[in-house]
Amino acid sequence: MSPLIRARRMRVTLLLATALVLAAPAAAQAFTVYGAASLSSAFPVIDSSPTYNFAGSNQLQLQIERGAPADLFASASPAEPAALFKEGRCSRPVTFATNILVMVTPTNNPAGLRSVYGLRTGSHRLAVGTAGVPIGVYTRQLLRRMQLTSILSTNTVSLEPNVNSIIAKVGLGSADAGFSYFTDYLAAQNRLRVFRLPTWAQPPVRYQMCVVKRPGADTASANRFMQRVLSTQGRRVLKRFGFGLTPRR
Amino acid sequence: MAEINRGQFLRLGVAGVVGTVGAGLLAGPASAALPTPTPQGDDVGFLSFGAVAELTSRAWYRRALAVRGFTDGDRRRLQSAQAAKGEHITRINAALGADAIQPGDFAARFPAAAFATKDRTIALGRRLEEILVSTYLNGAAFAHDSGTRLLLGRLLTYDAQQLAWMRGLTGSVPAGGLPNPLSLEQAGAQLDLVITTPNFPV
Repeated sequence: MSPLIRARRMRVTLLLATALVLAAPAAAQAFTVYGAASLSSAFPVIDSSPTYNFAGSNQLQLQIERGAPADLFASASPAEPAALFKEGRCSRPVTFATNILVMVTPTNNPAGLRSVYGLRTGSHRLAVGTAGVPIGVYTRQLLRRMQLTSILSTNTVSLEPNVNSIIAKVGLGSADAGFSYFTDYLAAQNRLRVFRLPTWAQPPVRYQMCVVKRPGADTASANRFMQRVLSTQGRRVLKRFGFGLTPRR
Repeated sequence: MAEINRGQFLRLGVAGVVGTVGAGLLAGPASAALPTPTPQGDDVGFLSFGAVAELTSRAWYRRALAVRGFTDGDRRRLQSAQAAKGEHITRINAALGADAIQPGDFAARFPAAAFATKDRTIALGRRLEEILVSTYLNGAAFAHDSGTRLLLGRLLTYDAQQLAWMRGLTGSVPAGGLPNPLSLEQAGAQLDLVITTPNFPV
């Protein structure tokens, strides 16, 4: 064998070995969970192994529709997983938790609010979810029921892309009040004061998840993750973080 | 002016009665065909509250049927009212469309002793009907959409009858007048005492 051929073979062997070395971590890479921002505290406690991407559920839905490498999608409302299921992009959604809406203010409550009805006077700074994100949809539904839609025009409203932004804005005192989930208040209660909202006006907040269908998706890991969330242990963690639970199927 | 004899007078009377009854029968279906409510602005609030309160009231009728002391006539009325409440919820939800209240969204949480005696049972039922009537009064006066106003007016009529019946059961004067209208803030605070969101820990 000529030295030239030997060198060529050596190079090919090296290339193959390099490719194998590079491919190995890719195969072992953690699968990816796209989750609603309000799940960012509880999910890593249930399972720390996935790569998480937390954001507004509507943004995550859009990313998945554009081919983002998600393996499991957990949304704060049934609308987004239902749309993906209809498009054939994920499995039939499963409900795994519930929540309620609350009004939060900074701990020192600079506006002196005593209830949500105090916002009728106007001229306060409000942090509210955008009309597309579940927290924004739920907030508008609640305000419609309470005949308080006008507070969105009589106060200075900052529209936030997800519930974490609302909590951050109120916690920093950049807003006098905001509407969030009860669980997000719990996670930041040292910086916030909470005001219950009427039970009768509460919209039904239901979290749903589904396994994403796309070429190369890690369906097995996604299914295992789903079972972990639905397990006794998973439900215990969700409960600890303040979520409501639906009856076992 | 020509005089009429007794026979003509009687025939005229019969014609008048038939005409009145006939006109009523013809007018009945026309008024029964409600214009489709298309809630505007704050109208959704009256309807949403009505749906939750009717759900709670229906739960009360269901529980009241198991309480001793009601006569057979009372029970028939309780049963018929329970069915009517179901129809009210259906009609309100049809008007609410995407904002419809689902039965699983709320559950009644009545005090344990509320059904211990017939009198206590009626007191709670009467309170629930008062909440409904007070809110519908407000809605029938201030809803923007005429179809919604008419729907609320019809619900008000039925629930006011139920309230009068319950007042009669407790010995109060049935014609005691309607309660004062309540804002959703006031009515909601009262309704919240007897409802809960299922599957939520707080």
